[in-house]
Amino acid sequence: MQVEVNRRGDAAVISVSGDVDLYTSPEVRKAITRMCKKKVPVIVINLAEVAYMDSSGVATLVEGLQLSGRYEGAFRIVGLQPAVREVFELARLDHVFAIFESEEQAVGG
Amino acid sequence: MQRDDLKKQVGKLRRQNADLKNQVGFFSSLMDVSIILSSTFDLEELIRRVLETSQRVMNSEASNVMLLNEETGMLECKVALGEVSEQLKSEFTLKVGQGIAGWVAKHGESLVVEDTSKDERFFSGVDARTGFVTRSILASPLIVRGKVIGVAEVINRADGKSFTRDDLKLFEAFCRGVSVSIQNAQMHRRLLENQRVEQQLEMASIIQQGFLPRHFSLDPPNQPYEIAARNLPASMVGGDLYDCIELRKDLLGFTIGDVSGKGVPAALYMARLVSDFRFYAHQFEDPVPTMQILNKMLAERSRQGMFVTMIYLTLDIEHGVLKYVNGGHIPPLLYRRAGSEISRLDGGEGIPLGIRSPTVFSEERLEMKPEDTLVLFSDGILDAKNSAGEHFSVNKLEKTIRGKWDTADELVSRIVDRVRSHAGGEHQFDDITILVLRWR
Repeated sequence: MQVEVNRRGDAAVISVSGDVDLYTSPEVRKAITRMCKKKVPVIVINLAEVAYMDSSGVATLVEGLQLSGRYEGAFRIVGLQPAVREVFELARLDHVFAIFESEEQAVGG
Repeated sequence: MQRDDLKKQVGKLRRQNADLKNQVGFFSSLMDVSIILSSTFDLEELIRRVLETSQRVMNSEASNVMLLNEETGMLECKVALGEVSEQLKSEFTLKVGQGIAGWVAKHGESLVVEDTSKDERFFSGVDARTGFVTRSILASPLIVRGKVIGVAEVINRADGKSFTRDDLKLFEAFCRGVSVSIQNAQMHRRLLENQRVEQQLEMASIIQQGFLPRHFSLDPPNQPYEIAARNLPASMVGGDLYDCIELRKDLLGFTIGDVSGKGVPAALYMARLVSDFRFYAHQFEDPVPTMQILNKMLAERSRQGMFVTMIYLTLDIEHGVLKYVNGGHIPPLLYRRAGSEISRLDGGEGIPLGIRSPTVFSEERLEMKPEDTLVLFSDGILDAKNSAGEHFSVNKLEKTIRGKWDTADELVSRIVDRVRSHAGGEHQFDDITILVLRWR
Protein backbone atom coordinates (compact mmCIF):
# COMPACT_ATOMS: atom_id res chain seq x y z
CA MET A 1 0.00 0.00 0.00
CA GLN A 2 1.16 3.53 -0.77
CA VAL A 3 0.14 6.91 0.54
CA GLU A 4 0.90 10.13 -1.29
CA VAL A 5 0.12 13.63 -0.10
CA ASN A 6 -0.23 16.55 -2.54
CA ARG A 7 -1.13 20.09 -1.64
CA ARG A 8 -3.63 21.77 -3.94
CA GLY A 9 -4.19 25.29 -2.69
CA ASP A 10 -6.04 25.11 0.64
CA ALA A 11 -6.55 21.40 0.23
CA ALA A 12 -4.35 18.40 0.91
CA VAL A 13 -5.11 15.39 -1.27
CA ILE A 14 -4.12 12.11 0.35
CA SER A 15 -4.07 9.47 -2.39
CA VAL A 16 -4.04 5.89 -1.19
CA SER A 17 -3.33 2.85 -3.33
CA GLY A 18 -3.62 -0.79 -2.27
CA ASP A 19 -5.67 -2.56 0.39
CA VAL A 20 -6.36 -0.64 3.58
CA ASP A 21 -6.62 -2.97 6.56
CA LEU A 22 -5.45 -3.45 10.14
CA TYR A 23 -1.83 -3.66 9.05
CA THR A 24 -1.69 -0.91 6.41
CA SER A 25 -4.11 1.65 7.88
CA PRO A 26 -1.47 3.11 10.30
CA GLU A 27 0.29 4.61 7.23
CA VAL A 28 -2.92 6.33 6.15
CA ARG A 29 -3.51 7.44 9.72
CA LYS A 30 -0.06 9.00 9.88
CA ALA A 31 -0.73 11.10 6.77
CA ILE A 32 -4.19 12.15 7.97
CA THR A 33 -3.13 13.11 11.50
CA ARG A 34 -0.18 15.08 10.09
CA MET A 35 -2.56 17.16 7.96
CA CYS A 36 -4.99 17.57 10.86
CA LYS A 37 -2.18 18.79 13.13
CA LYS A 38 -1.43 21.44 10.52
CA LYS A 39 -5.15 22.29 10.49
CA VAL A 40 -5.32 21.95 6.73
CA PRO A 41 -8.74 23.47 5.81
CA VAL A 42 -9.71 20.77 3.30
CA ILE A 43 -8.51 17.17 3.46
CA VAL A 44 -9.43 15.00 0.49
CA ILE A 45 -8.90 11.25 0.67
CA ASN A 46 -8.64 9.77 -2.80
CA LEU A 47 -9.48 6.06 -2.69
CA ALA A 48 -9.59 5.47 -6.46
CA GLU A 49 -6.78 2.91 -6.13
CA VAL A 50 -8.23 1.11 -3.10
CA ALA A 51 -10.08 -2.10 -3.94
CA TYR A 52 -10.51 -3.29 -0.35
CA MET A 53 -10.91 -1.57 2.98
CA ASP A 54 -11.74 -3.23 6.29
CA SER A 55 -13.25 -1.63 9.39
CA SER A 56 -9.79 -0.59 10.69
CA GLY A 57 -9.40 1.44 7.50
CA VAL A 58 -12.83 2.97 7.96
CA ALA A 59 -11.95 3.83 11.59
CA THR A 60 -8.89 5.68 10.30
CA LEU A 61 -11.17 7.81 8.13
CA VAL A 62 -13.58 8.33 11.03
CA GLU A 63 -10.66 9.59 13.12
CA GLY A 64 -9.72 12.01 10.33
CA LEU A 65 -13.31 13.24 10.23
CA GLN A 66 -13.35 13.73 14.01
CA LEU A 67 -9.93 15.44 14.14
CA SER A 68 -10.65 17.81 11.26
CA GLY A 69 -14.08 18.54 12.76
CA ARG A 70 -12.37 19.95 15.85
CA TYR A 71 -10.97 22.86 13.83
CA GLU A 72 -13.96 22.95 11.47
CA GLY A 73 -11.93 21.57 8.61
CA ALA A 74 -13.57 19.74 5.72
CA PHE A 75 -12.91 16.03 5.33
CA ARG A 76 -13.89 14.62 1.96
CA ILE A 77 -13.70 11.28 0.25
CA VAL A 78 -13.42 10.60 -3.46
CA GLY A 79 -12.97 7.62 -5.77
CA LEU A 80 -14.91 4.92 -3.88
CA GLN A 81 -14.50 1.63 -5.72
CA PRO A 82 -17.47 -0.80 -5.78
CA ALA A 83 -16.37 -3.05 -2.90
CA VAL A 84 -15.43 -0.10 -0.69
CA ARG A 85 -18.63 1.76 -1.65
CA GLU A 86 -20.58 -1.32 -0.56
CA VAL A 87 -18.87 -1.28 2.86
CA PHE A 88 -19.75 2.41 3.19
CA GLU A 89 -23.35 1.97 2.13
CA LEU A 90 -23.98 -1.13 4.21
CA ALA A 91 -22.85 0.66 7.36
CA ARG A 92 -24.57 3.88 6.25
CA LEU A 93 -21.22 5.63 6.29
CA ASP A 94 -22.33 7.44 3.14
CA HIS A 95 -24.43 9.45 5.64
CA VAL A 96 -21.34 10.21 7.69
CA PHE A 97 -18.77 11.27 5.11
CA ALA A 98 -18.89 13.87 2.37
CA ILE A 99 -18.36 11.68 -0.70
CA PHE A 100 -17.48 13.23 -4.04
CA GLU A 101 -17.34 11.82 -7.55
CA SER A 102 -14.17 13.60 -8.69
CA GLU A 103 -11.06 15.00 -7.07
CA GLU A 104 -11.75 18.36 -8.73
CA GLN A 105 -15.13 18.60 -7.05
CA ALA A 106 -13.74 17.42 -3.72
CA VAL A 107 -10.94 19.98 -3.73
CA GLY A 108 -13.30 22.75 -4.80
CA GLY A 109 -16.03 21.64 -2.42
CA MET B 1 73.97 -24.69 -0.31
CA GLN B 2 75.76 -21.42 0.19
CA ARG B 3 75.94 -19.92 3.66
CA ASP B 4 73.88 -16.85 2.56
CA ASP B 5 71.15 -19.03 1.11
CA LEU B 6 71.05 -20.98 4.33
CA LYS B 7 70.70 -17.76 6.31
CA LYS B 8 67.81 -16.67 4.04
CA GLN B 9 66.12 -20.02 4.48
CA VAL B 10 66.45 -19.81 8.28
CA GLY B 11 65.04 -16.28 8.21
CA LYS B 12 62.15 -17.41 6.05
CA LEU B 13 61.40 -20.36 8.33
CA ARG B 14 61.50 -18.11 11.40
CA ARG B 15 59.00 -15.74 9.78
CA GLN B 16 56.77 -18.64 8.79
CA ASN B 17 57.07 -19.98 12.32
CA ALA B 18 56.09 -16.60 13.75
CA ASP B 19 53.12 -16.40 11.34
CA LEU B 20 52.06 -19.89 12.32
CA LYS B 21 52.36 -19.00 16.01
CA ASN B 22 50.19 -15.96 15.34
CA GLN B 23 47.66 -18.06 13.55
CA VAL B 24 47.63 -20.62 16.34
CA GLY B 25 47.09 -17.72 18.77
CA PHE B 26 44.35 -16.37 16.52
CA PHE B 27 42.50 -19.67 16.29
CA SER B 28 42.96 -20.62 19.92
CA SER B 29 41.54 -17.26 21.07
CA LEU B 30 38.66 -17.72 18.61
CA MET B 31 38.15 -21.12 20.15
CA ASP B 32 38.17 -19.55 23.65
CA VAL B 33 35.52 -17.07 22.55
CA SER B 34 33.36 -19.69 20.88
CA ILE B 35 33.45 -21.73 24.12
CA ILE B 36 32.38 -18.61 26.04
CA LEU B 37 29.59 -17.92 23.55
CA SER B 38 28.09 -21.34 24.09
CA SER B 39 28.70 -21.45 27.84
CA THR B 40 26.06 -19.08 29.19
CA PHE B 41 22.62 -17.63 28.45
CA ASP B 42 23.40 -14.58 30.56
CA LEU B 43 24.12 -11.97 27.90
CA GLU B 44 25.88 -9.52 30.20
CA GLU B 45 28.13 -12.22 31.61
CA LEU B 46 28.85 -13.47 28.09
CA ILE B 47 29.85 -10.00 26.83
CA ARG B 48 32.00 -9.42 29.90
CA ARG B 49 33.90 -12.67 29.33
CA VAL B 50 34.41 -11.97 25.62
CA LEU B 51 35.76 -8.53 26.53
CA GLU B 52 38.12 -10.10 29.10
CA THR B 53 39.47 -12.42 26.39
CA SER B 54 39.77 -9.50 23.96
CA GLN B 55 41.73 -7.47 26.49
CA ARG B 56 44.04 -10.36 27.26
CA VAL B 57 44.67 -11.26 23.61
CA MET B 58 45.08 -7.68 22.47
CA ASN B 59 46.96 -6.68 25.57
CA SER B 60 44.69 -3.70 26.16
CA GLU B 61 43.85 -1.57 29.20
CA ALA B 62 40.10 -1.22 28.83
CA SER B 63 37.14 -2.32 26.76
CA ASN B 64 33.42 -1.81 26.49
CA VAL B 65 30.28 -2.77 24.61
CA MET B 66 27.64 -0.16 23.89
CA LEU B 67 24.18 -1.11 22.68
CA LEU B 68 21.90 1.13 20.68
CA ASN B 69 18.72 2.17 22.50
CA GLU B 70 16.22 2.23 19.63
CA GLU B 71 13.83 4.54 21.44
CA THR B 72 16.35 7.24 22.30
CA GLY B 73 18.77 6.61 19.41
CA MET B 74 21.65 6.72 21.93
CA LEU B 75 24.49 4.26 22.43
CA GLU B 76 24.42 3.09 26.02
CA CYS B 77 27.26 1.32 27.77
CA LYS B 78 26.14 -2.22 28.57
CA VAL B 79 29.44 -3.72 29.82
CA ALA B 80 32.74 -1.98 30.53
CA LEU B 81 36.07 -3.29 31.82
CA GLY B 82 39.01 -1.24 33.03
CA GLU B 83 39.71 1.26 35.75
CA VAL B 84 36.77 3.60 35.05
CA SER B 85 34.30 0.89 34.07
CA GLU B 86 31.69 1.65 36.74
CA GLN B 87 31.60 5.32 35.81
CA LEU B 88 31.36 4.46 32.14
CA LYS B 89 28.44 2.13 32.74
CA SER B 90 26.43 4.62 34.74
CA GLU B 91 27.20 7.83 32.82
CA PHE B 92 28.36 6.95 29.36
CA THR B 93 25.99 7.56 26.42
CA LEU B 94 26.80 8.72 22.91
CA LYS B 95 24.71 9.85 20.00
CA VAL B 96 25.00 7.85 16.81
CA GLY B 97 27.66 9.70 14.82
CA GLN B 98 29.32 11.09 17.94
CA GLY B 99 32.85 9.95 18.81
CA ILE B 100 34.59 6.86 17.48
CA ALA B 101 31.86 4.47 18.65
CA GLY B 102 29.21 6.77 17.19
CA TRP B 103 31.05 6.83 13.86
CA VAL B 104 31.27 3.03 13.81
CA ALA B 105 27.55 2.75 14.67
CA LYS B 106 26.65 5.21 11.94
CA HIS B 107 28.78 3.65 9.21
CA GLY B 108 28.59 0.00 10.29
CA GLU B 109 32.37 -0.31 9.72
CA SER B 110 35.26 -1.20 12.03
CA LEU B 111 37.92 1.33 12.85
CA VAL B 112 41.50 1.32 14.15
CA VAL B 113 42.47 4.66 15.67
CA GLU B 114 46.21 4.64 16.33
CA ASP B 115 46.37 8.04 17.97
CA THR B 116 43.14 9.59 19.24
CA SER B 117 44.76 13.03 19.58
CA LYS B 118 45.13 13.12 15.80
CA ASP B 119 41.65 11.88 14.96
CA GLU B 120 38.99 14.56 14.93
CA ARG B 121 36.20 11.99 15.21
CA PHE B 122 37.40 11.21 18.77
CA PHE B 123 35.09 12.62 21.46
CA SER B 124 37.22 13.76 24.42
CA GLY B 125 34.24 14.46 26.69
CA VAL B 126 34.32 11.00 28.25
CA ASP B 127 38.01 11.24 29.19
CA ALA B 128 37.42 14.73 30.55
CA ARG B 129 34.72 13.35 32.83
CA THR B 130 36.46 10.16 33.95
CA GLY B 131 40.10 11.25 34.00
CA PHE B 132 41.01 8.25 31.84
CA VAL B 133 43.41 8.88 28.94
CA THR B 134 42.41 7.19 25.70
CA ARG B 135 45.35 6.85 23.32
CA SER B 136 44.26 4.26 20.78
CA ILE B 137 41.02 2.46 19.99
CA LEU B 138 39.91 -0.60 18.14
CA ALA B 139 36.18 -0.46 17.45
CA SER B 140 33.87 -2.84 15.66
CA PRO B 141 30.10 -2.75 15.04
CA LEU B 142 27.74 -5.40 16.38
CA ILE B 143 25.44 -6.25 13.52
CA VAL B 144 22.25 -8.30 13.70
CA ARG B 145 20.29 -9.00 10.50
CA GLY B 146 22.16 -6.27 8.66
CA LYS B 147 21.36 -3.66 11.32
CA VAL B 148 23.89 -2.10 13.71
CA ILE B 149 22.72 -2.84 17.25
CA GLY B 150 25.84 -1.70 19.10
CA VAL B 151 29.58 -1.15 19.10
CA ALA B 152 32.44 -2.94 20.89
CA GLU B 153 35.76 -1.26 21.67
CA VAL B 154 39.13 -2.19 23.11
CA ILE B 155 41.19 0.74 24.30
CA ASN B 156 44.93 1.42 24.70
CA ARG B 157 47.46 -1.35 24.17
CA ALA B 158 49.23 -1.85 27.48
CA ASP B 159 52.63 -1.95 25.75
CA GLY B 160 51.99 1.52 24.28
CA LYS B 161 52.01 0.22 20.71
CA SER B 162 49.13 0.67 18.23
CA PHE B 163 46.53 -1.95 17.50
CA THR B 164 47.32 -3.92 14.36
CA ARG B 165 45.26 -5.13 11.40
CA ASP B 166 45.51 -8.63 12.87
CA ASP B 167 44.04 -7.34 16.15
CA LEU B 168 41.21 -5.84 14.13
CA LYS B 169 40.57 -9.08 12.24
CA LEU B 170 40.42 -11.05 15.45
CA PHE B 171 38.27 -8.49 17.23
CA GLU B 172 35.83 -8.43 14.32
CA ALA B 173 35.52 -12.21 14.59
CA PHE B 174 34.81 -11.89 18.33
CA CYS B 175 32.20 -9.24 17.62
CA ARG B 176 30.47 -11.42 15.05
CA GLY B 177 30.18 -14.11 17.73
CA VAL B 178 28.80 -11.62 20.24
CA SER B 179 26.31 -10.35 17.63
CA VAL B 180 25.01 -13.87 17.03
CA SER B 181 24.68 -14.39 20.79
CA ILE B 182 22.78 -11.13 21.17
CA GLN B 183 20.53 -12.15 18.29
CA ASN B 184 19.90 -15.54 19.93
CA ALA B 185 19.23 -13.90 23.29
CA GLN B 186 16.80 -11.46 21.66
CA MET B 187 15.01 -14.28 19.87
CA HIS B 188 14.85 -16.30 23.10
CA ARG B 189 13.43 -13.27 24.94
CA ARG B 190 10.89 -12.62 22.20
CA LEU B 191 9.83 -16.25 22.27
CA LEU B 192 9.24 -16.04 26.03
CA GLU B 193 7.39 -12.76 25.61
CA ASN B 194 5.21 -14.29 22.89
CA GLN B 195 4.44 -17.23 25.13
CA ARG B 196 3.48 -14.87 27.93
CA VAL B 197 1.28 -12.79 25.61
CA GLU B 198 -0.34 -15.96 24.32
CA GLN B 199 -1.11 -17.12 27.86
CA GLN B 200 -2.59 -13.73 28.67
CA LEU B 201 -4.68 -13.80 25.50
CA GLU B 202 -5.97 -17.25 26.41
CA MET B 203 -7.07 -15.86 29.77
CA ALA B 204 -8.57 -12.80 28.06
CA SER B 205 -10.42 -15.06 25.66
CA ILE B 206 -11.98 -17.01 28.54
CA ILE B 207 -12.92 -13.76 30.29
CA GLN B 208 -14.37 -12.28 27.10
CA GLN B 209 -16.49 -15.34 26.37
CA GLY B 210 -17.80 -14.90 29.92
CA PHE B 211 -19.31 -11.54 28.89
CA LEU B 212 -21.42 -13.26 26.28
CA PRO B 213 -24.39 -15.20 27.62
CA ARG B 214 -24.45 -18.92 26.96
CA HIS B 215 -27.85 -19.62 28.40
CA PHE B 216 -30.90 -17.49 28.00
CA SER B 217 -33.87 -16.97 30.25
CA LEU B 218 -36.02 -18.30 27.42
CA ASP B 219 -34.36 -21.66 27.55
CA PRO B 220 -37.14 -23.62 29.34
CA PRO B 221 -39.01 -25.49 26.62
CA ASN B 222 -42.44 -24.24 27.74
CA GLN B 223 -41.53 -20.68 26.60
CA PRO B 224 -42.96 -19.60 23.23
CA TYR B 225 -39.54 -18.33 22.10
CA GLU B 226 -36.11 -19.83 22.03
CA ILE B 227 -32.80 -18.13 21.46
CA ALA B 228 -29.28 -19.33 20.61
CA ALA B 229 -26.05 -17.58 19.80
CA ARG B 230 -22.40 -18.26 18.94
CA ASN B 231 -19.32 -16.08 18.76
CA LEU B 232 -16.13 -17.22 17.02
CA PRO B 233 -13.39 -14.60 17.22
CA ALA B 234 -10.82 -14.56 14.39
CA SER B 235 -8.01 -14.48 16.95
CA MET B 236 -8.22 -15.30 20.65
CA VAL B 237 -10.24 -12.21 21.43
CA GLY B 238 -12.48 -10.23 19.13
CA GLY B 239 -14.71 -7.21 18.72
CA ASP B 240 -18.06 -8.83 18.00
CA LEU B 241 -20.70 -8.82 20.69
CA TYR B 242 -24.19 -10.08 21.33
CA ASP B 243 -26.44 -9.98 24.32
CA CYS B 244 -29.92 -10.86 25.38
CA ILE B 245 -31.49 -9.50 28.53
CA GLU B 246 -34.85 -9.69 30.21
CA LEU B 247 -35.96 -6.06 30.56
CA ARG B 248 -39.28 -7.08 32.14
CA LYS B 249 -41.06 -10.39 32.48
CA ASP B 250 -42.74 -9.73 29.12
CA LEU B 251 -40.05 -7.69 27.41
CA LEU B 252 -36.80 -8.95 26.02
CA GLY B 253 -33.89 -6.85 24.72
CA PHE B 254 -31.26 -8.29 22.41
CA THR B 255 -28.41 -6.94 20.40
CA ILE B 256 -25.57 -7.81 18.09
CA GLY B 257 -22.62 -5.58 17.26
CA ASP B 258 -19.30 -5.45 15.48
CA VAL B 259 -16.53 -3.16 16.75
CA SER B 260 -14.17 -1.73 14.11
CA GLY B 261 -10.74 -3.34 13.96
CA LYS B 262 -9.74 -6.63 15.55
CA GLY B 263 -7.93 -8.20 18.45
CA VAL B 264 -7.29 -6.66 21.84
CA PRO B 265 -8.35 -3.02 21.16
CA ALA B 266 -11.67 -4.20 19.70
CA ALA B 267 -12.09 -6.66 22.59
CA LEU B 268 -11.59 -3.97 25.23
CA TYR B 269 -14.02 -1.67 23.44
CA MET B 270 -16.52 -4.51 23.22
CA ALA B 271 -16.15 -5.39 26.93
CA ARG B 272 -17.02 -1.89 28.09
CA LEU B 273 -19.83 -1.60 25.57
CA VAL B 274 -21.49 -4.83 26.76
CA SER B 275 -21.44 -3.54 30.32
CA ASP B 276 -22.81 -0.11 29.30
CA PHE B 277 -25.47 -1.77 27.16
CA ARG B 278 -26.77 -3.85 30.06
CA PHE B 279 -26.92 -0.82 32.31
CA TYR B 280 -28.67 1.57 29.89
CA ALA B 281 -30.97 -0.99 28.29
CA HIS B 282 -32.52 -1.55 31.76
CA GLN B 283 -32.81 2.19 32.32
CA PHE B 284 -34.59 3.12 29.09
CA GLU B 285 -36.25 -0.07 27.79
CA ASP B 286 -36.95 1.51 24.40
CA PRO B 287 -34.26 1.07 21.72
CA VAL B 288 -33.94 4.70 20.57
CA PRO B 289 -32.90 6.34 23.89
CA THR B 290 -30.67 3.37 24.71
CA MET B 291 -28.84 3.69 21.39
CA GLN B 292 -28.63 7.47 21.76
CA ILE B 293 -26.97 7.35 25.16
CA LEU B 294 -24.60 4.57 24.07
CA ASN B 295 -23.67 6.56 20.96
CA LYS B 296 -23.06 9.70 23.02
CA MET B 297 -20.78 7.86 25.44
CA LEU B 298 -18.86 6.08 22.69
CA ALA B 299 -18.40 9.29 20.67
CA GLU B 300 -17.16 11.14 23.76
CA ARG B 301 -14.55 8.55 24.58
CA SER B 302 -13.69 7.86 20.92
CA ARG B 303 -10.07 6.83 20.29
CA GLN B 304 -8.52 6.42 16.87
CA GLY B 305 -11.90 6.61 15.18
CA MET B 306 -13.11 3.29 16.63
CA PHE B 307 -16.83 2.70 16.23
CA VAL B 308 -19.35 -0.10 16.42
CA THR B 309 -22.12 -1.20 14.08
CA MET B 310 -24.91 -2.40 16.32
CA ILE B 311 -28.56 -3.32 16.14
CA TYR B 312 -30.77 -3.31 19.19
CA LEU B 313 -34.17 -4.97 19.30
CA THR B 314 -36.82 -5.35 21.96
CA LEU B 315 -39.48 -8.03 21.81
CA ASP B 316 -42.83 -7.89 23.54
CA ILE B 317 -43.10 -11.59 24.28
CA GLU B 318 -46.87 -11.66 24.63
CA HIS B 319 -47.76 -9.84 21.45
CA GLY B 320 -44.70 -10.55 19.34
CA VAL B 321 -44.08 -6.85 18.75
CA LEU B 322 -40.52 -6.22 17.74
CA LYS B 323 -39.04 -2.71 17.96
CA TYR B 324 -35.57 -2.08 16.61
CA VAL B 325 -32.92 0.49 15.81
CA ASN B 326 -30.03 -0.28 13.51
CA GLY B 327 -26.77 1.61 13.93
CA GLY B 328 -25.10 0.70 10.62
CA HIS B 329 -25.19 -3.07 11.18
CA ILE B 330 -26.01 -5.64 8.49
CA PRO B 331 -29.80 -6.02 8.59
CA PRO B 332 -30.93 -9.28 10.21
CA LEU B 333 -32.93 -11.81 8.22
CA LEU B 334 -36.49 -12.78 9.08
CA TYR B 335 -37.52 -16.27 8.05
CA ARG B 336 -41.22 -17.07 7.79
CA ARG B 337 -41.32 -20.82 7.65
CA ALA B 338 -44.88 -20.97 6.37
CA GLY B 339 -44.03 -19.58 2.93
CA SER B 340 -40.30 -20.33 3.18
CA GLU B 341 -39.91 -16.59 2.80
CA ILE B 342 -36.83 -14.64 3.90
CA SER B 343 -36.76 -10.86 4.18
CA ARG B 344 -34.21 -8.31 5.35
CA LEU B 345 -35.09 -6.36 8.45
CA ASP B 346 -34.62 -2.97 6.84
CA GLY B 347 -35.48 0.36 8.37
CA GLY B 348 -34.78 1.80 11.80
CA GLU B 349 -31.54 2.92 10.25
CA GLY B 350 -28.91 5.12 11.78
CA ILE B 351 -25.16 5.47 11.49
CA PRO B 352 -22.72 3.30 13.47
CA LEU B 353 -22.25 4.27 17.11
CA GLY B 354 -19.32 6.30 18.36
CA ILE B 355 -18.74 8.42 15.25
CA ARG B 356 -20.66 11.59 16.04
CA SER B 357 -23.09 12.79 18.61
CA PRO B 358 -25.88 13.75 18.62
CA THR B 359 -27.26 11.69 15.80
CA VAL B 360 -30.77 10.64 14.84
CA PHE B 361 -31.95 7.09 15.31
CA SER B 362 -35.41 6.09 14.20
CA GLU B 363 -37.36 3.13 15.45
CA GLU B 364 -38.94 0.48 13.27
CA ARG B 365 -41.61 -2.02 14.33
CA LEU B 366 -42.56 -5.45 13.15
CA GLU B 367 -44.95 -8.07 14.37
CA MET B 368 -43.49 -11.52 14.76
CA LYS B 369 -45.67 -14.54 14.14
CA PRO B 370 -45.44 -18.12 15.37
CA GLU B 371 -42.71 -20.07 13.54
CA ASP B 372 -40.90 -16.85 12.63
CA THR B 373 -37.14 -16.97 12.99
CA LEU B 374 -34.90 -13.96 13.24
CA VAL B 375 -31.23 -14.38 12.30
CA LEU B 376 -28.80 -11.69 13.44
CA PHE B 377 -25.19 -11.97 12.29
CA SER B 378 -21.92 -10.12 11.85
CA ASP B 379 -20.18 -9.56 8.52
CA GLY B 380 -17.54 -12.16 9.41
CA ILE B 381 -20.04 -14.72 8.07
CA LEU B 382 -20.38 -13.09 4.66
CA ASP B 383 -16.64 -12.28 4.52
CA ALA B 384 -15.55 -15.90 5.10
CA LYS B 385 -13.57 -16.85 2.00
CA ASN B 386 -12.75 -20.18 0.41
CA SER B 387 -9.44 -21.00 -1.29
CA ALA B 388 -10.75 -19.50 -4.56
CA GLY B 389 -11.35 -16.21 -2.74
CA GLU B 390 -15.15 -16.53 -2.93
CA HIS B 391 -17.16 -15.16 -0.04
CA PHE B 392 -19.85 -17.04 1.84
CA SER B 393 -22.72 -15.12 0.26
CA VAL B 394 -26.11 -14.06 1.60
CA ASN B 395 -27.57 -16.68 -0.77
CA LYS B 396 -25.66 -19.45 1.00
CA LEU B 397 -26.79 -18.10 4.35
CA GLU B 398 -30.42 -18.01 3.19
CA LYS B 399 -30.15 -21.52 1.77
CA THR B 400 -28.89 -22.75 5.16
CA ILE B 401 -31.76 -21.00 6.94
CA ARG B 402 -34.28 -22.64 4.58
CA GLY B 403 -32.65 -26.04 5.17
CA LYS B 404 -33.57 -28.73 7.67
CA TRP B 405 -33.23 -27.86 11.37
CA ASP B 406 -35.51 -28.01 14.39
CA THR B 407 -34.17 -25.67 17.06
CA ALA B 408 -32.51 -22.26 17.19
CA ASP B 409 -29.35 -23.90 18.49
CA GLU B 410 -29.39 -26.36 15.61
CA LEU B 411 -29.70 -23.53 13.09
CA VAL B 412 -26.76 -21.67 14.67
CA SER B 413 -24.66 -24.85 14.47
CA ARG B 414 -25.73 -25.42 10.87
CA ILE B 415 -24.67 -21.90 9.87
CA VAL B 416 -21.30 -22.26 11.64
CA ASP B 417 -20.73 -25.65 9.95
CA ARG B 418 -21.63 -24.27 6.51
CA VAL B 419 -19.37 -21.26 6.91
CA ARG B 420 -16.52 -23.51 8.05
CA SER B 421 -16.98 -26.01 5.27
CA HIS B 422 -17.13 -23.15 2.74
CA ALA B 423 -13.86 -21.71 4.08
CA GLY B 424 -12.18 -25.14 4.10
CA GLY B 425 -8.90 -24.67 5.89
CA GLU B 426 -8.65 -20.98 4.99
CA HIS B 427 -7.74 -18.53 7.72
CA GLN B 428 -10.69 -16.84 9.45
CA PHE B 429 -10.08 -13.12 8.95
CA ASP B 430 -13.00 -11.66 10.81
CA ASP B 431 -14.96 -12.41 13.95
CA ILE B 432 -18.10 -14.44 13.36
CA THR B 433 -21.23 -14.01 15.44
CA ILE B 434 -24.75 -15.35 15.01
CA LEU B 435 -27.83 -14.92 17.15
CA VAL B 436 -31.06 -16.72 16.35
CA LEU B 437 -34.43 -15.96 17.92
CA ARG B 438 -37.27 -18.28 17.04
CA TRP B 439 -40.94 -18.31 17.88
CA ARG B 440 -41.55 -22.00 18.39
